[in-house]
Amino acid sequence: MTDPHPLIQLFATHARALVLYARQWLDASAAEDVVQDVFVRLLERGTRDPSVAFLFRSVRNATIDVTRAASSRKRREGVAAGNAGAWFERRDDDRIDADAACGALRSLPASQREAVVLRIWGGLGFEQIAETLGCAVSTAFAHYRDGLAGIQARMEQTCRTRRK
Amino acid sequence: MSNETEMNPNDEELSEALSSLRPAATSIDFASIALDRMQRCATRQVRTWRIAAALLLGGLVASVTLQVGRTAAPQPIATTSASDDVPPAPGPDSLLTLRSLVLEHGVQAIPDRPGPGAIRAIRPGDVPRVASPGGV
Repeated sequence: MTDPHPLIQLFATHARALVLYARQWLDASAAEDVVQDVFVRLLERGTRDPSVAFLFRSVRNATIDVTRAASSRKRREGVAAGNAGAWFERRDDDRIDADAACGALRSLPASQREAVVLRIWGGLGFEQIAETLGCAVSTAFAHYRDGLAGIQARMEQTCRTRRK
Repeated sequence: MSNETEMNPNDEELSEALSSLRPAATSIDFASIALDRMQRCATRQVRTWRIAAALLLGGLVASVTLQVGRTAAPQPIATTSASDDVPPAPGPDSLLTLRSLVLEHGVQAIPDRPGPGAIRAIRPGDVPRVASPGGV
């Protein structure tokens, strides 16, 4: 039996994180379409083993193209806040509440949210994050750190609200 | 990376907790999509090669046909038959006929009158006429 195409293996490994990344701007089905289109394009071009950072960058560019085609930049920024549907699976062994984390992520500014998603679920280093976001490495790190602080603040606020 | 070491313990703990969350599953069956695309691509390649092979074959056949047409230009065909081997019969004034006549019947058998195109032999009577001065 022959080995599966490297892109199929890459998809199996990174599809969830890539769709999560695209979902910051798009709804679930549109995000899946974007990720699928990226992989199909890579397949048609004969690209066999792209880097993970390249995949995230491609998804980002494709997402921006889709949102530009659909509406203005204002709408693109607004979609994340109103983006319905679960971003994470709910599991018993989760160390953090999935819905609360999703809410906290959605409340972040786009650049911080991107940095957190790329770092935690994409597994990218700060140099790769900086390359993807088109900023300096220190800026990428600052986005990530501020994003984590924002999530923490939001979750503490949620806990306090629940206790009340 | 040095920047990563700047994270405080709270951030580290939060990032570990967040990383325990698993992004929602996708409904994309990329394996079948990829298989379908690759099959389509392979079919397209096979079709291209078939067309190329057909064109090459057509060109080859055409060139061979043209070449055969050139080399097979009409040429006289030499035919031989058994009758061609028999030499033609000698004429009545031919040397062979005269020879056989002389052998069979002697010198008398030589015909008196030479043929219309024969060269007349010089006779004794012709000599003075030729040798006389002023004779024509």
